[in-house]
Amino acid sequence: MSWHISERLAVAYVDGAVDGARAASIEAHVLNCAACRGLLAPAAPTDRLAAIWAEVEEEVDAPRPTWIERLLCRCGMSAEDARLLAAAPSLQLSWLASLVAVLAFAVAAAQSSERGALAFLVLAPLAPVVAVAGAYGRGVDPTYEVTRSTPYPAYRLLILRVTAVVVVALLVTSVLALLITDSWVAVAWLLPCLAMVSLALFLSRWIDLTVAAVGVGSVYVVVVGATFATDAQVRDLYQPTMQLLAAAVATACTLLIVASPHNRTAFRRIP
Amino acid sequence: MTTAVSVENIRKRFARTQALDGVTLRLGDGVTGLLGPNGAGKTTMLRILATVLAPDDGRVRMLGLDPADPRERTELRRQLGYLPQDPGFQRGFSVFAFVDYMAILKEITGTRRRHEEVRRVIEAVDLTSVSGKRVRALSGGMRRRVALAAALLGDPAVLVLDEPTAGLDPEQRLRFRELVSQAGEGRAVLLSTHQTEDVAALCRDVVVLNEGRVLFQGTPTQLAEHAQGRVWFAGERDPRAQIAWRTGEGLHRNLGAAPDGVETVAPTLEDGYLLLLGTRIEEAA
Amino acid sequence: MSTVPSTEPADAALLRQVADGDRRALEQLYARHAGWLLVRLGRRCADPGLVDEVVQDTFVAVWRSAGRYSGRGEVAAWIWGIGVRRLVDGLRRMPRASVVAEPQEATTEISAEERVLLGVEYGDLAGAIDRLSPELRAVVESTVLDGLTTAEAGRLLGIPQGTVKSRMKRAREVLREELA
Repeated sequence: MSWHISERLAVAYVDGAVDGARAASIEAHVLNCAACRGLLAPAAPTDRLAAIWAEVEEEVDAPRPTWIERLLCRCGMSAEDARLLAAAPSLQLSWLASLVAVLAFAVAAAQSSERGALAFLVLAPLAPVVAVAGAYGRGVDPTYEVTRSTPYPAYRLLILRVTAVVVVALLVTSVLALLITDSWVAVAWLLPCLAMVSLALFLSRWIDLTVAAVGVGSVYVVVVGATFATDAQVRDLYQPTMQLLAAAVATACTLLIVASPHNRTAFRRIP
Repeated sequence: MTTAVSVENIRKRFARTQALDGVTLRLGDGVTGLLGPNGAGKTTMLRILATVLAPDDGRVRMLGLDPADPRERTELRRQLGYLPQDPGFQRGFSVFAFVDYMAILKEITGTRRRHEEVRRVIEAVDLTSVSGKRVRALSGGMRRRVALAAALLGDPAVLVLDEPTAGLDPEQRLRFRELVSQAGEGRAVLLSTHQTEDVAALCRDVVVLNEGRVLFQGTPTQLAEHAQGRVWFAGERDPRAQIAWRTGEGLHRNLGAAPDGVETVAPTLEDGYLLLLGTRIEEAA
Repeated sequence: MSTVPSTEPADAALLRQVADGDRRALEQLYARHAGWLLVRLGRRCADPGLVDEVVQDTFVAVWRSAGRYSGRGEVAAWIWGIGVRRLVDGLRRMPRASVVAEPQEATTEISAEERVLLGVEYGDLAGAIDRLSPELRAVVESTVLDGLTTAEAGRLLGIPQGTVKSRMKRAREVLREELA
């Protein structure tokens, strides 16, 4: 390249005082010469350039909201709360996929035989409980320790996460339950499930959520197992009396959680 | 020097272990090192200061606030930064996404303002060039820096760092020390370590903790002076020495009550620290 | 006249880093190229709001598609290609606002020497192009200099594609006559 732009010419060009072939020459040259680009840069409108860069930065850096976050925001939640919720480990695709896989297997079993239907009845209430175990807690959330040193109320995080996880797990299980022909089996799992979830949530005030959920789930498994072992009818565990009991437990726990002044304070954000 | 952190007679018990047994400390601005062997109670102390754990007994005051009171605890957490041992990160989060998530937990309001703060701390730890990368794909040293960036959000007045240089190679450790040193300007930093080089390089004050008790609080120079006149070299391990080891050059460095007529050498921080611990072990025996 | 220090990475190297997710490299590319891009686009569209938006979109596009740079040709030319196409798209969305900046009176004295030097870029062609009427010159610049297709040039200038083609034909005839 035998010629380059002078500083004066650069300023003239930027100011719009150069036209025609001369401007065209400058433009063609600048496309190939880093040094002359360097001359133009300080002459260009810096305020506009700084403002544009701030926008570029923002667009490039801002993390893209996941489908859960978009859904939650559309339901009226703030973007920040949605982000905290969506980070629940059991809302990750891998957890949900395993959940769906196990339930799908149970549904298939239910279609094939009477015993199979029992398999679904036993497994379905556990699915949301397992999901709750993976919502929040020292064992499942890798950032648990540092989260506890932040001003955001830990109890609020727990409740919000559990709510989101339970809603998703219940939806998934319900949709799969619709595929079952035996209409009683398709419904009888719900109340025992709600009882277990609300009990785990109630206990989480004193013990780690994961421990509470796993504990409650284990007791359920032991009871089912014992019933099976003693040759009593597992189906009897889900008959109307038991359903009523489950409903009572669920209601009592929920009321205790919601009405507790300690919980209400712990849930609220302190300004 | 104003006292940013004051801890009086702290006790904490876990099952059968008395992790902290009457610890009293005062911290001001600048970097203070918490030195001690494994199991000394360092992590427990730091967790109490990070308001993650409550002591069984004793009084804690940080920035004039009492972490036992819920309202003051929340206010305190707004001015606190914590880097735990083995920090964890969510799967699939990029550096920016992770620090932004922590910024939400720290209740930094306004999306634009929050993002600018996230960029500021990422720049402070020199990770801008990888801010779009997944944290789990980075090296251990870089991951530690990500966690440090999160701790620096909101420009906290108190920084609590639990063994921040553990497991880092010398180059990473040097970089980290520089960052911590910068961070120490204008705020109180407490970091725990079992490496005396960290303390010698960084700390204005050092506290030696062992078996839940404070053995020493003072400057690194004073800790070194504890071994004044009690360090000498010999061709062999001297049976009169309390502690001795073979140096690279083939000589033996001996610590303890120096015999008469033996030429003593200037003590290092490590000498002081070892003798301090050694004395304790002697007493227990 | 300043020369670019040889220790600084070349544009192609920076673009590779951007493809790798290096935000700082994007900032450096922006510092090098956003200035001339802003000015050059501003000379083709009088709406500064649209131009700002186009520059912004261009660099976001650079971030997202840095991996697609073939490695051939100047990075600046690649960036221009993205930018001018976005400008054309932007003008298509609001055709009324498409105003090609009117060339201003040359208010700065250009020395005879510079005139000669500038002419080197296009040789004899420079003078001939200068003497073309503004409509013909605009068409020549957008297709030859800016690298647009006749359809895109039409959108940029706010004229039908057919008119672009006929003006190009006319311009070629005029230039051929002049240089003969």
